[in-house]
Amino acid sequence: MGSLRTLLVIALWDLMKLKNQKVFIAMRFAWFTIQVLVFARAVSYIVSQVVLQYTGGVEYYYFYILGVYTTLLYSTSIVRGYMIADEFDDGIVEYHLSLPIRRNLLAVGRVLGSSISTIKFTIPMMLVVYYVLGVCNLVIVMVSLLSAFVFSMGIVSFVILIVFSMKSTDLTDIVVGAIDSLLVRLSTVFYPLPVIAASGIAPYYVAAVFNPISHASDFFRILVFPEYHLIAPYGPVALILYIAGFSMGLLILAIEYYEKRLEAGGWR
Amino acid sequence: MSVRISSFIREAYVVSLRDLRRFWQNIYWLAGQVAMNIADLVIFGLIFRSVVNPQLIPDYIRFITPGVSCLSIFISAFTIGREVGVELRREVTHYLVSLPISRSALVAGRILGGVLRGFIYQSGSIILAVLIMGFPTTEKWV
Repeated sequence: MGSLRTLLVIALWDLMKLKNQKVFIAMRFAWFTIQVLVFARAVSYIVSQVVLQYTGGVEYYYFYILGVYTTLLYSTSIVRGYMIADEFDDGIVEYHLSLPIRRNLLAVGRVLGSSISTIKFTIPMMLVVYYVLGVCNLVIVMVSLLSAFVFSMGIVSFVILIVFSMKSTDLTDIVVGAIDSLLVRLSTVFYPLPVIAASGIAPYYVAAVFNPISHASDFFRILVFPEYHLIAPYGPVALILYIAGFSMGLLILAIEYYEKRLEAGGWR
Repeated sequence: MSVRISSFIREAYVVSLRDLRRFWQNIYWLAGQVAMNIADLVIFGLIFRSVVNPQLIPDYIRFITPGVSCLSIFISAFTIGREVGVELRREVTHYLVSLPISRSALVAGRILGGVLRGFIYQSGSIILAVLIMGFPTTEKWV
């Protein structure tokens, strides 16, 4: 079997799982739409106009909904990666390792499959956000999708590394849950970097500057509102390079782990 | 009749004690959740305070503290559901329903255990809220 065909087959494995989650996707879509149309409006209503000086003139509502979309992208990537923990429980990882497939292809295929599933899952939500923002430029939509895919690859690789290092459902549950919540809080998804700087909590500021979620959300904002570039610490090229470097680095680590360290069994 | 009731209460009590013991076994999860509640209060509270319209919400920390407490009620209630889900997957539920106790006592025990766990978890959050906002009165707290 050719390498590309192998990758396709593995990626399809992950995509197939989405078919069983139609109700879940519909519920998530409904919840997200309510969050964007109702909750985000309420939050932006209690925010004073002072915030405009921190967002480069971008209305807080628009700032917030792009942050919410980034959070959704991040959480969905976490869930897709975490599904491998369930597979370990059911012995599917052992089955995969016994297949006549090179391990590096298996690793890349799983990451690709999970990331494509994430994008497929989040496309309706992205379209809702872009509809509300009035974005109809196809180039912006395509660049957003591509950058979302690259970002998702990094997060999925990260979770796969955690799942395989822990080899324990309970421990993975705790660690992934904590990382999931903490990284979102220590980022610029809900408040702009100058507001974090003004709070005077230096460790929080440093965490937000280096957080890949901050880079992803700021990149989406600059794509739609170029004036946001004025308050972002880096330009769009630097932001996307950071995301690409983060994702490629973690993908290489995941491949390395699959090839050299991963053994069947030992799941607790 | 009274024998049946006392037997029901005793069985439910035993089941709830099991859940309480298991609660302390998940100490890291618990610590993580408490840390997250405090992080919500500190991060959301301190950061958001500087951008919230003071005419609408004069003190955002006082505003968000009861909200975080409510969130912790939800989380604590959720832990027992998460645990029952894990037990279903690992077929521990088969063992539980095979025990010489009535199913109603099993359900009541799990609910009682969940409530007690929630109360323990929630107490820390309420103490924190009292420290920040003082004791609640019959008229108001916020």
